[in-house]
Amino acid sequence: MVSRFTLLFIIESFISFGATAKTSNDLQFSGFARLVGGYLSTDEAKYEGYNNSVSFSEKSLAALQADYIINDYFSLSGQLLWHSDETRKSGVEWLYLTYQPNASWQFNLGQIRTPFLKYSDVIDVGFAYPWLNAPQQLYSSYLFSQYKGVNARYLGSFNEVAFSLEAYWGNYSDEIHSSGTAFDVTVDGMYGGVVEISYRGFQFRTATIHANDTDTDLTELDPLIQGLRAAGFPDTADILDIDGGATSYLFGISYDSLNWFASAEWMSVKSDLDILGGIDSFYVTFGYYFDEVLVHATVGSSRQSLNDIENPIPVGIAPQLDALHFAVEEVKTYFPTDDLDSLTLGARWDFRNDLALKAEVSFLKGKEGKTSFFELDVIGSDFDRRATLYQLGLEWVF
Amino acid sequence: MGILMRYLPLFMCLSCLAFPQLVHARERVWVVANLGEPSLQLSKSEIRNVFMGGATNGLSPVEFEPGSYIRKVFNTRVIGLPEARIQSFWAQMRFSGRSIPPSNVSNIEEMVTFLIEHKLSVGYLPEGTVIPKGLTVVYVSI
Repeated sequence: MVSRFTLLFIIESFISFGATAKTSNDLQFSGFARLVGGYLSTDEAKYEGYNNSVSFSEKSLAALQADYIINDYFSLSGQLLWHSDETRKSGVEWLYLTYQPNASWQFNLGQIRTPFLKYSDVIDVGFAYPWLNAPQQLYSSYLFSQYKGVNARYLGSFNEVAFSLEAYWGNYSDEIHSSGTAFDVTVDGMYGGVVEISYRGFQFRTATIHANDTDTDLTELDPLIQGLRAAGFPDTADILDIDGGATSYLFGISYDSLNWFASAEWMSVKSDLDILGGIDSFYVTFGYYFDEVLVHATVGSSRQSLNDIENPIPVGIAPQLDALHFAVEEVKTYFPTDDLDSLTLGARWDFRNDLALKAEVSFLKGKEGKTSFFELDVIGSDFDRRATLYQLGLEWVF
Repeated sequence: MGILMRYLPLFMCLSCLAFPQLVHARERVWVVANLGEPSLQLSKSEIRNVFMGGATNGLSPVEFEPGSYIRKVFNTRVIGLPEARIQSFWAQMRFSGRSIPPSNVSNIEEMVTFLIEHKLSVGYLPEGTVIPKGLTVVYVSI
C-alpha cells in the first residue's frame, strides 16, 4: 500500500507541473488528479479495496496528457497515469494517433480506452462526473476498459437533433480484478459501437461490445484443471478453463438543465462462458445545483446469473476424488455473483473552475451467499453483505 | 393568511436558493459570426451544438473566459447549463480524446478582434454592442 505521504508528494508534483506547464501551438500538456479517502463500516469484508480503516490508496491517482499537433489533419496523444490502487497498473494509459480530415470525421489508431458507458472512457477523470465512486454495478473494472486498435467517429446534425456515431475494433489484454480474484484476460477481435443522439437537454445513448474470442487465464486453477483431466473429468476441466465470448448492450438516457439533471443507464451482458450466464444492471441518478454545489442521489442495482457448473465427481469412493470434488465446489464459490443494490447520496462543490470537492455516502445491500462486489476474508462467512461506504475527495484538472 | 405571511421570508430565501441562475435571466446576448453568407441564421440548438462539442457545420466557436458575466448570461440563456457542468463536460471531452474546449477571450474588444480575424468563427456579445462590418448576428437570445 502506498503511503499517504508518497501519494501527496506525487500529486503535489503534478500540481507544480500543472502550474508551470509550457504549451505551444503544437504541443499541449494537460492532466488531472484525484485524492480520495474512504472508510467502510464493516470489518468482515472489503469493498472497492476499502475496509474499516481510512484509506487514500484505493482511488487516488494523477495523470499527465500530451497532445502533439503534427499538421492540420494529424495529431498524437499520450496519457501517463499513476494510480495508487495496487490492482491497477500505472503507466501509459492512452497512446494514439488521430486523423481528422474535417470537423465531422475523426479516426484514432493506437491504445484507446473503450467507449461503452457514459463515463467509461474517462472513469479515471473524477472531475468529469458527479460521484466519487461511479455506480459499481456498471462501472466495475471487469469490462474491457481499453484496447489496441482503431476507432472511427462521425458527428452530424439534423435540424435540432445532433448525433454521433462511433465504431471500433481491436484486441484486449489485461489483468482483471474481480471480488479479490485476479484473471489474465485476452480478447482477439473485440468490436463495438456507440450511438449518441442529443435533442435540446436530452441525450440518448446506446452502445455495444462484442468480445467473441475471450481467453481467461486463471493460473491458480491450472493444477486443479490438470488433476481433473488426469482423473477422467475433461468436461469439468473445460468449464474451469474459461474460454468463450461475451456481448454487452447499453442503453442510457439523460436530461441536463440549468438547475438539475437526471441520468440513467441500463446494461446487459450475455455470455456463453460456462461460469457467467449474464449480468443485468442499472442506475438512476438525480442531481440539483445550488449555485456551485451539486447534491445528488443515485440508486443502483445489479443481478448476475451463473450458468450451472455440474460437479460429476463422486464423493466417498476415494480420498483423491473427494479432494477433487470439494476443490471444484470451493472454486465455484470464488466466481463472482455480484448482486448488489445501493443508494448513494453525495455532494460536489466546484469551488474553482478546475477544482471540485466531493463527499459521498453509499449504502450497500448485497445478497447473502453471493459476492455482491465484496471481497470476503473468509468465503462462506456469515457477513450479511450490508455495509456503508463513506468517501471524501478532491478532483482537479489542469 | 397569517401563516403565509409568517413563512413568506423563509419561502423567499428558499426560492433564491432553488433558482439562483434566474439572476442572469434578464440579460440578452447576440451570437455573432464571421460568415461569407450574411443572411444565415442559427437556431438555439445549432448554437448549443457548436459550443458544446457537437456538429459545428464548419464553424469555430470562441468563448469568454469562465467567470465573466457575459459568459454566465450566455450559459444561462443559450447553453442552458451551469458553468460547473460545462467544465466537467469539457474534462470528459478532452480526456477521452473527442474534442477540446473553444478558444477563450477576456473582453469584448478581444472577442470582436478575434471574430474579425478568423473566418467562420462564432462568438457572442452583449445585446447592443456595435457590430463591425463583416460580422453577422446569427441569433438573438430570448
